[in-house]
Amino acid sequence: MNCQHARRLVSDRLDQPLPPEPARALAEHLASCPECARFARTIEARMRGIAALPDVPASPAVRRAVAAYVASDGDRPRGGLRHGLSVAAAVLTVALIAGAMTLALRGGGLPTVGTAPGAARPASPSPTATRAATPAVPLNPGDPPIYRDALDTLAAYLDTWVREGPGSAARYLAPDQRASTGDAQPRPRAAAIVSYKDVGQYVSDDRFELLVNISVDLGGAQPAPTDGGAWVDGVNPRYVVFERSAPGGPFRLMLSPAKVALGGAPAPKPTPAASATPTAPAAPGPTPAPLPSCATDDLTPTLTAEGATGSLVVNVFVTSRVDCRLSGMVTVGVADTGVATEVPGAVSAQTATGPVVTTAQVDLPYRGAVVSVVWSNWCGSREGLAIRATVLGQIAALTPDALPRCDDAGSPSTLRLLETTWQGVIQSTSPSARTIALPDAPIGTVAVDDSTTIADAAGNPLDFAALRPGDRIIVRGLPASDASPGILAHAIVVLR
Amino acid sequence: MDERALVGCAQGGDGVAFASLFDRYHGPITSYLYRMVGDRDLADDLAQETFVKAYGALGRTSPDLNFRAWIYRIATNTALSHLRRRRLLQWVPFSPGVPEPSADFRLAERLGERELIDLALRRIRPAYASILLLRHHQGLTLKETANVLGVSPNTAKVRLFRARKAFMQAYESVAEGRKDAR
Repeated sequence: MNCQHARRLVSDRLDQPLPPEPARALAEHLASCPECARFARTIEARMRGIAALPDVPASPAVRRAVAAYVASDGDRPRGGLRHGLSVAAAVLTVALIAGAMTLALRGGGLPTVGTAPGAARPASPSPTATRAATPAVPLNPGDPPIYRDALDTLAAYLDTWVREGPGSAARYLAPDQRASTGDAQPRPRAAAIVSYKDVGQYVSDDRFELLVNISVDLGGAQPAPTDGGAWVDGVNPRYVVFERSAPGGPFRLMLSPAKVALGGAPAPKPTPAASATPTAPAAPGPTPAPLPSCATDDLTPTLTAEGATGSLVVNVFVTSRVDCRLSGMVTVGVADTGVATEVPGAVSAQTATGPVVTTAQVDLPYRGAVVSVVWSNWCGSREGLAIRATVLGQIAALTPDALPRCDDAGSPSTLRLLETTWQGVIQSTSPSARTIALPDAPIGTVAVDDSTTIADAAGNPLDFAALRPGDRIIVRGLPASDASPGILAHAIVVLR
Repeated sequence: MDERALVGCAQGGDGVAFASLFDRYHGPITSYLYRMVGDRDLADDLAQETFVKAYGALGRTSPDLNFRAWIYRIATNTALSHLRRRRLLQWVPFSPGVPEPSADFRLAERLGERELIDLALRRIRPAYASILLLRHHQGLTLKETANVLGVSPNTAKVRLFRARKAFMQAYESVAEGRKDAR
């Protein structure tokens, strides 16, 4: 018995007694292998540790809410609980933030871009003279320190980010304005004005989230129309999260992907693989301004792979430093790492053991997109095998823990894109969970989060609360998980 | 009334029977979800969502339903769905900035055994955390765990082995951070 087999049996015997012969062989191995014996002791101790974790008490509020739901025979919208808490917290946050977030971070010390059109403003003062060292935040003495710390952090970060960060205002100058500076990456006369837009959410002493509008004063220049996906009327709405990993520690400031209006991204073109499955018609609406093409250096692909009922769902997360259209392809392939074989082109199936590849075209209006494919029927070896995703020359590779089941050695292994568009009629909505029941569509439930855009057929934004039973909707999104029905919506169009 | 009878009544629309099932599983499901997501309020939200989903779907289940496995399956899917959604949001650093390597160490220094376990659970894939919690914290049998996941017992054993190895590695990593901090 080798060590790998022995360790597997050590794990197995935590779940059920081993048959006599394997048990005897394992005992012999453990007696002669100190490493495996230590592994056995450790794994048992760790699992005992998990078993000993204390339970948390059940919440009476949940009990009341579920009882009310049952009493109403399921018709009553769910409310209370977190929803109520969020509202209360939001009110608190509003009180703290509303004035505070109008903090004007005048871009002190910005290098002058005197040749930019409309640049009639006087040169900016020095950074030290104008930087808002402490934002004018009407904090109360009893407020949690998170607010003061976080707002200080926000002030400092924004000042730098707007001028120099990868998503800096320079990206949003029109091409002729860029050219006029004679600088490939002009640093504009920029000032960030951050205003509070929506309710914030107090999550804990160590984290809160809020939606802010970041508008950038480009010294009279207008943002390029091609960047309208992220900048709507000169405003770039983002979620900002302040988070620290330990009480008393420093806050880290995180910026969400851009939140864009529906139609900011054209529907993906069908690929051979995607067109094999029925899809809903493309969402109607105004023709959006095209996003600029992505540059290789802006992109980062990462991969995950999860097993599901004999297949493997491969998710390629493509993130971009700027909003852009990935006019190239995301290529997902199965490759032998030894020879790094990859088949170019849009091919949905190859041989049973050879490399397979599929492609998808995506837009990145959220500065991120996920391309999900299902890999089925693999009858080849796992030695040296890897999943590779290529995005404009950027490569990510992953050796999966599991491989698809071999269903038929005579049939090709396949990769197919997961469907991303559905339509159906709303049966009910849940305001607190922000879900929509769509029983007539195979997806069942649509989950809405803060990055979801909702609009009518003309492209006018709608609130979640405006959705009503009987509405016919088109949904673009991703499966919430491969193990459960439902999707996370990126965009919803209401056809009234 | 035994559970089988309660489930039968609840499937027929008996709200009192469903309330009894709720009382049996509310605590365990909340604990399970709390260990999955690490946030008490969120665990309550997800528990509520779990039971609301269960109430809505119970009438469409088969008479031989294994309620225990079924309710854990709903809870698992609800939690994984939430975690995936959170991951999909893809928070990006506001500024490249400098990472805070010392933060983990400071945190680890104060950690007790339970916190180490919680932190290690949070560092592994949610699907791995889920299977370990089902099997060891919630005490489901191998067969029940497999049932929750919709896989065969043999597949569940393979996943458990991988999950245990991943957890041990994560635990050692967290514990090492604590040691280094001293």
